[in-house]
Amino acid sequence: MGRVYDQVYRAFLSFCMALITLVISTLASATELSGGMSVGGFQVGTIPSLALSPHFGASWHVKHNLVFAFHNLCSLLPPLGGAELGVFNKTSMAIGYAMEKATFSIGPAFSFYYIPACGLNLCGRVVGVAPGANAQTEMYIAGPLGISMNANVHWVGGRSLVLPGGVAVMIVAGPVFRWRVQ
Amino acid sequence: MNAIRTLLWLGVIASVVISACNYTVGECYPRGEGASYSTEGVGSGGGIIIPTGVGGFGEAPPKQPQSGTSQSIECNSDESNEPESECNAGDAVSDGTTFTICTEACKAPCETGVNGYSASLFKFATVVADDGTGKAGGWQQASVVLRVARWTSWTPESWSCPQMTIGMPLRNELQGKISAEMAASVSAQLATQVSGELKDIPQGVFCFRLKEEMNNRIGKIIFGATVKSP
Repeated sequence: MGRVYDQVYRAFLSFCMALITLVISTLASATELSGGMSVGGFQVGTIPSLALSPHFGASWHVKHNLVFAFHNLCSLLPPLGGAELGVFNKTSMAIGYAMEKATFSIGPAFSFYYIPACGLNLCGRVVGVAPGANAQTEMYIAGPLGISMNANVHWVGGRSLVLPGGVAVMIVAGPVFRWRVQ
Repeated sequence: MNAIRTLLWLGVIASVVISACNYTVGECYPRGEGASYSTEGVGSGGGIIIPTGVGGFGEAPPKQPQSGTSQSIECNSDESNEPESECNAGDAVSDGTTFTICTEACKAPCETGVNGYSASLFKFATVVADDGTGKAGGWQQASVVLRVARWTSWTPESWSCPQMTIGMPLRNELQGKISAEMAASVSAQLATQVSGELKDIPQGVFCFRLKEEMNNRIGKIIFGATVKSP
């Protein structure tokens, strides 16, 4: 048991350190920052859930309309049917295409989660880390104000017999606000 | 600058892909049963020959602790179950104390020894002597720990179920005298059959289902027989 916790802890710690380093080092040079609040659905195992997802991101123009983007989406999964609050935090790195009023990006993602869940046979609270993929699009309809939609899928698995293997799928959408730095 | 940033991202990706894992925190419970651990039976049919007619149920066994509602459920696979080598049967299988489940990808553990529970594992002893009166009498029982080894992937599992006690009369109206050998044989066959039917069940609920299913069926084979925990 200890080894599993060590793995989760080490993965999360290394991720946090890398994330902090990246955020600090790259925000200063970002060409665009964005943030907002989305609502949508989340499913892992057999139980779907509502997701309330504040998010922020940064992007850099690489060449012409090509952008490199960083995005973090922290989904709060409200308790439904007597369950407890869950958290599914997703960080993604993506390559995208940007136009004046719209962007689209896709890339690998990584999540840390602490969620109540039910598998085919068991229910319980599961903590873990999960790699996955992410796609996001943003459309700006009134100056810096726009709408973003995010879809991602993560591979969930490990020693938990509640979620021994499978995928977590989430689709959220909501308002987004952007700041152009340069 | 961009090259450094990209390399940094790639490092993050590589580190997290390798580190993917999860763990159940605290207790878990069977789906659909809430947080309480119900002992309701699962109620599927059996394949063992069931005698018909009415028989005596023998004398009641002595009072014993009933812990059927406190059986713990495994929520995480045990790290100690990791194999030392891929598809290596080791010494813990095929000796009559372990039910072994195999797949096409890993058949070796099932090809030798006793693939199931041996009757010698069930050592029945008389608890209440038969006084010879009435249609049924006496009581005998055996306590066993059933082990399971499942070789369905390159990460095989093995576990031991909590001790269970199988009890049955020494004599009933339909089957007459029930010897310890007969009791052991019936118990071994039933445990092997039910384990085979549950071969795809997660180990967290396997033992619970095994005990419940055996208890549901054994009374139809030997009238008055029961399976309890411990």
